[in-house]
Amino acid sequence: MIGLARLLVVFLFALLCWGPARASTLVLVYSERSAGYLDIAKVVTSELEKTGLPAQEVSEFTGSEWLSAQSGGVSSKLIVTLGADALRQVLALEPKVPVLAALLPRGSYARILRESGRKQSPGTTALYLDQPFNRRLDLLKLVLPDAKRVGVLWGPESQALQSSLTQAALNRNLGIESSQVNNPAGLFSGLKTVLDGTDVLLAVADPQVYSSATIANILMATYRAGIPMIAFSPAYVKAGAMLAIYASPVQIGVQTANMARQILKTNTLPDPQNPAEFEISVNDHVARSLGLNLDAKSLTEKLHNLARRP
Amino acid sequence: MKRNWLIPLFYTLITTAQAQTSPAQSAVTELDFLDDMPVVLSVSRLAQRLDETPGAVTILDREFIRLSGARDVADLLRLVPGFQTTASFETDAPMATYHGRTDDWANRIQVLVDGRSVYAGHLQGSTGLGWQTLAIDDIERIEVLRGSNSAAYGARAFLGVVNIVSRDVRETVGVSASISYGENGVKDYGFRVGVGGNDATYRLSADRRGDDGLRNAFGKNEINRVNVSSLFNVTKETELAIRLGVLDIAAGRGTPGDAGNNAHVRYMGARFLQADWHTTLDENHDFSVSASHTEHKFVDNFPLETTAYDEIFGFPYSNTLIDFSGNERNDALSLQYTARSSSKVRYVVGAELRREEVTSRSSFDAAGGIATNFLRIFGNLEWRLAPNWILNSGAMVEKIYEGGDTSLSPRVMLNWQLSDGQTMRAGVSTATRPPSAFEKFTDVKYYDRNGQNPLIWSVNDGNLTSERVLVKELGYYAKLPKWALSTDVRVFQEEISSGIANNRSDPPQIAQIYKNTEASTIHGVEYQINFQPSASTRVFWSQTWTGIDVMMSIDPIRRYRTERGAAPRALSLSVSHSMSPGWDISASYNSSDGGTLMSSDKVDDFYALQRTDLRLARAFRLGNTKAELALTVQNLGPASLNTDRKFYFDQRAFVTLRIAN
Repeated sequence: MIGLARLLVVFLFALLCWGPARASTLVLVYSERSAGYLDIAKVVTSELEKTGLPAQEVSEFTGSEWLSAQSGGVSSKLIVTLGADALRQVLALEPKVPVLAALLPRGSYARILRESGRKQSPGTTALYLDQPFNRRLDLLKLVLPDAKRVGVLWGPESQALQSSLTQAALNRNLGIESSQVNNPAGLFSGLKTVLDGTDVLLAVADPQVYSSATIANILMATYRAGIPMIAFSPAYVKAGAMLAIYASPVQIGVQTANMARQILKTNTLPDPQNPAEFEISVNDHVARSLGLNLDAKSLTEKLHNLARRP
Repeated sequence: MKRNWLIPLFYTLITTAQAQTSPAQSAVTELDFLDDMPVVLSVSRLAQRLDETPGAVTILDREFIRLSGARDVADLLRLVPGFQTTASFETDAPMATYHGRTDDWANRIQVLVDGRSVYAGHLQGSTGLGWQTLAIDDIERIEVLRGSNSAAYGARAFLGVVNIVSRDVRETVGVSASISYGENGVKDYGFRVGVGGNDATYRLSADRRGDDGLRNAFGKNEINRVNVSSLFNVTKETELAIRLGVLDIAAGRGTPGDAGNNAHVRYMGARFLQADWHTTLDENHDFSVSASHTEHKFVDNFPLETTAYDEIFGFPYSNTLIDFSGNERNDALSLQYTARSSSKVRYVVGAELRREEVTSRSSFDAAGGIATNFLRIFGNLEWRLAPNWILNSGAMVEKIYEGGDTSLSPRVMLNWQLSDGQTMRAGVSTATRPPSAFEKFTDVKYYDRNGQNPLIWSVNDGNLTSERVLVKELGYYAKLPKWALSTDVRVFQEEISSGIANNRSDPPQIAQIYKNTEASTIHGVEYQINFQPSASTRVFWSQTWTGIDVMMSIDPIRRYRTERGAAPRALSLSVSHSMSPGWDISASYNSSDGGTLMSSDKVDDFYALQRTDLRLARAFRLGNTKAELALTVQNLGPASLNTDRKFYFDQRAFVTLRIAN
């Protein structure tokens, strides 16, 4: 009976969404067809399916596939993009339907919107990949309660976030020791300034500062100075950062699906959102060597409790 | 011709380093969050915590060194528990030793500068020259491991290890300069320039340090140093450090008017080239190869300006050259593999090949020189038996090809964390110190002006073997953030057998000869307290009680020298405080009961020491340049004796200006 009822709902839903040829309710466009994107796309589709949007109502494209599909007249009620390239390619065609941009950092979203000339509202919204500074600094205080000064290396892209970090730090009685790194040659003098007299290095994503080419120098210098690094992805923890806070692919996928469902249901676009959930990853060996015993699970619980506090 | 290979090597390295630089992506995207990163802090990069190290450790960091006002390493070590030091060149060179034998060429500790052992076989295995390898401003920190540790640091780590770590080239990009000028002819200049980018970084440091030495002595000295340090990120997993250095010391010794040892200038020099290759296999495994070549040169001679020997022996010895000159070449190649096999077990295994060549006609007579080859194989294991128990154990096997000695130096230490921040240690270790080339093969003869009729001054019987030590120790380490302090206590018993001693009788009737004729036990307690009530205030306090029982010695004076080689009681205190805006004030004090010198020629001849230093500094800015002006006063108050009753270390003040961009 239940199976039959579900079938009926699906049938009616499909009927409701029936439009011109090759129409879907939702189009999912990702930057490239690789495991990272496909995994998240899978989470988004299955989450939507759980709440009644059948998989066949979701069409998936890469950015370049989308360009050719558009000429064939594919239409939908909402476009969800995964990744910066996907958003750029979707916006290039000036879509007539709302766009939810996921799996991209705040800075990336702002830049692409700026470049495309499209106004953020009402046509586009986002789910940022980066964790909010308030949460990152709460974690920092949990791990290093005595920390007073936080070191930050700003790059050309990340510097736009300076004021929001300063405000978050101010609210927690933390001082910021920052340095502007505009090119690889400026990294060392930036590090010298930042490592002198700070208790912790907070890594903020910017490819001019943090990349696989620079990470060895940054981690070696900070470790030798006895300063822990709080990073933004688990890859940095494997490299030697003491810990990282980030949104996992599943968390991003689930939240993207929730936002998409909300948009389809209400026909209104919410403001861009930060990740609601997070994961913490700890390099136990580095933490121990720096004199700390950290447990990712209990830190996660404490940080959740902190967020629940009024 | 010989050095030309360096140029293509550097070129290859630079082009390799440049070639791997991909055009950087300039805009932040999700890839910054999702991409993989190379492992950087792999297993061998991670230092042991102080509560997990198998022994007592004192760390003098850059800030401590700066605030001390010290001009060289040996002088700094007077503040470290258990150390005896001299501050000038009058006797031999500024010397630091642990648990005795102050003014002789001290040779029972291992001194590593960026991992390279710096002892001189020609100077009886002394580290006197090695202490001067780096300018004080180029030192990041000095790690003093008090206690025998041959299993981890090689054969020379007989009673302890001093690990001098230079500043990371990545942190010294820019230009800095310093000048010190003051009483007693203090004139020091230093200049440093660091350049580089992400793939290759270089530093060039050049400095001169000089003063007039001690009162009543011909001890004017001048050190000139150049050090080049470079670091290449060859691939994302591989790093290569190349260092080279030139050290020249000209120091006065002897006494004006002393016909048997007239005032003259001795030259000591060192040249080295060192390459360290480190490859990270993954986060739990890495591999490193180090190679170094070191050359030492000693020029120390003067004509015998007396006819006294002519009259005694009936041959023309006057104007014969008394010569202690020699040359040394040391080559070392070591391989090391470090692994973490589980969250509880970490180990390192490795091997070192070392060749030491000493050439000196005056020290080895007809043989002209000695070459010795060593093979060392070592392994160390750190095993977390239970959450609060750590076992550190290791061993080194050393084979000496000339002379046939093979020895095993095992070590075991158990650390028990009895509560959060408090650890007890207990351990046993043994170590072996092979005799230096001079001790083992000395053959000194002085010929008359016609090259005839040799006077035999030093001989060897070829039977000298390694000296051994068995160390039993207990320790306690606490880090108590609530009270802003950390402390380390070491209770030790160091039983030395087959101890090497110079068997010349006093007065010298027979030639000097080194024999395994001494047995002694060094026992005592030493502790240190670091107290840092705020970021701007640091206090370091240490106290030691040392007793030396001599079980075997050839005569009463030698027994006495060994017994009083370390003062029975000593203490040190240093305090520093930073006041805003930019003022630093620091003071240090050390004192010790009477200890004696290896040159003492009578029982009950001993010297107590006391010294107070003060430093006041003001940091300021000259445009974009950071600057610091400091006034240092060493040995505030009455002059103290330094190593010999004839010489006095007078109060001296000097001003230092440092600038850095």
